[in-house]
Amino acid sequence: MKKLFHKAPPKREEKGVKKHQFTPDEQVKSYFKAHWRVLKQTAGKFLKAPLDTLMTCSAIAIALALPVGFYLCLNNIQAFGPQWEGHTQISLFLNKRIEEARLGRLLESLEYWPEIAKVSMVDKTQALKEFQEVTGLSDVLSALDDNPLPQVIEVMPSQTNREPASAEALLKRLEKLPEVDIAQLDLAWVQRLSIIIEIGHRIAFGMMLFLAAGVLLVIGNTIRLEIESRRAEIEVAQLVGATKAFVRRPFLYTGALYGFIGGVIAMVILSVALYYLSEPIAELSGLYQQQKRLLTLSFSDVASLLFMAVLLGWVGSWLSVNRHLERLTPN
Amino acid sequence: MIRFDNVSKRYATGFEALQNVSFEVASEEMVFLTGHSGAGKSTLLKLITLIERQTRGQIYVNDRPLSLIANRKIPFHRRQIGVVFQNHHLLFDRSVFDNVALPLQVIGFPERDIARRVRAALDKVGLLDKEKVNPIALSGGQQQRVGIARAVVHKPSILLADEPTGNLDDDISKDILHLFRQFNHVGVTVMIATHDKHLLEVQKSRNIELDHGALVYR
Repeated sequence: MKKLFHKAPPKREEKGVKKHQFTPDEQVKSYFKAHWRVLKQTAGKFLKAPLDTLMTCSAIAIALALPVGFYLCLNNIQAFGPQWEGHTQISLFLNKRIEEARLGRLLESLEYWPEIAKVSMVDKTQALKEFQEVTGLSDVLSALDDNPLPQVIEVMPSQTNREPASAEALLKRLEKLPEVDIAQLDLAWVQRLSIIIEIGHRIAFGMMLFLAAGVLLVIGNTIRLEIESRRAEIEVAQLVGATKAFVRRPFLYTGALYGFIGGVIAMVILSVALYYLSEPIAELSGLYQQQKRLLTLSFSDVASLLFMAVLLGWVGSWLSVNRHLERLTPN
Repeated sequence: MIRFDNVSKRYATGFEALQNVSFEVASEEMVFLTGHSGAGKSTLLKLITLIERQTRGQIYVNDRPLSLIANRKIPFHRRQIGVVFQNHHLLFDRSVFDNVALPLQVIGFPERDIARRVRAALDKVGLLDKEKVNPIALSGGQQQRVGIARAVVHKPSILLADEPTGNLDDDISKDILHLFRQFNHVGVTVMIATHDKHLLEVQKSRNIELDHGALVYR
């Protein structure tokens, strides 16, 4: 009977050199395993010297928290912005002895001015009530028989007259009206505030660049010391055929992990600071009749902060490793 | 296996370490590389492992000219060579096992293969019971054995040794050389650099002798 199956002849043990061939699947697996191993080792190292790790990470955290916190504050102030935008407004404080009829005529005539888009009266009684609420002087004020506030008309210049120069000219004309005691242009402080916010944004941006550079330096230096202390290991690894990527890997993970922990600490710092600020800010929002809006870290804030932190850690160690490995590599 | 064709090496300082060196080591051969200190033995080994590049001539390892190996390919070239150092270059921040495992981790072997191969290598050098020990606690001879286990754990086709018995007394040196011979018997090409003439009398292998960077013909 014919043998349908027969065993392959036993492979002769090749002398000495037996090349180990990896399947692609094995390669991918061992690649990820190698990464996982490095990550575990790095985390283990951090836990071995928790105080040192915490100090480095805190330095990174502070450098991250400062500009981010500043930025958040600015954004919150700016949240009042939409109200102000295009809010060039002239307030006319009228002579107190003016009669109702004359007031009506004045309003009507102002409506026809081409430079004016909208005219509105501020209700004296309503204004007093708000003033009482805000200042807490209700007892004093209610002791008065008369409403001490003057009649106010708010004038919104037309679209073409909102530029500072033309608004100024309009103001001059309105001031000359006999019924008007004081005319006040609200433009100046709106402009000033928006400029201040713009300056703040630029300062925050500059701070961010500086402090990001600071993070890079802190991490770069930490990694440099790490490389120094693992010099023997690096040399041996290179001699037994470690690629640059293999040698770099633990340091990159170290840098990224420093960044990550720094980012987490930065978030804790920010949360505490924001909690501390939340009360006065809520009050401020109330004063401006804004919906209650607290400074909070949104999910995307958190995600981008952590991403930036990890990226900075990674890049910082990359720069450091490349600079110092060059010295340890022949040729 | 290893062939030198009129190889010269001049360092940046102008020092001429090797001059027109030509020789060939056959596959599965065991040779000694001898000469006074400063004769160029270490330089020659550095050229083979591409720690340095030759300035003239050509070197072939497994029929491949080394000048054609790009810098980023050097790691892969080194993986077919095991190197044993005089001062063994062991890492004292980890166990014997982890020291020997390093080349396998570098190459990317799966975890269980690593354990198996490391134990096999430690068994061959007679230190299987020391795998968990820190190498700092071992004697000089034992440390050198760990160094050898690390050099052979990934089964390289070539084993180079730079003064492997330099710091060891005679009996232990003999043991170490016996180990090298065993690896040679299973097909590894072995090249041992030494200035220890006494050892040579014991060993009856071919001898490549260098004198001030030049080959000595006998």
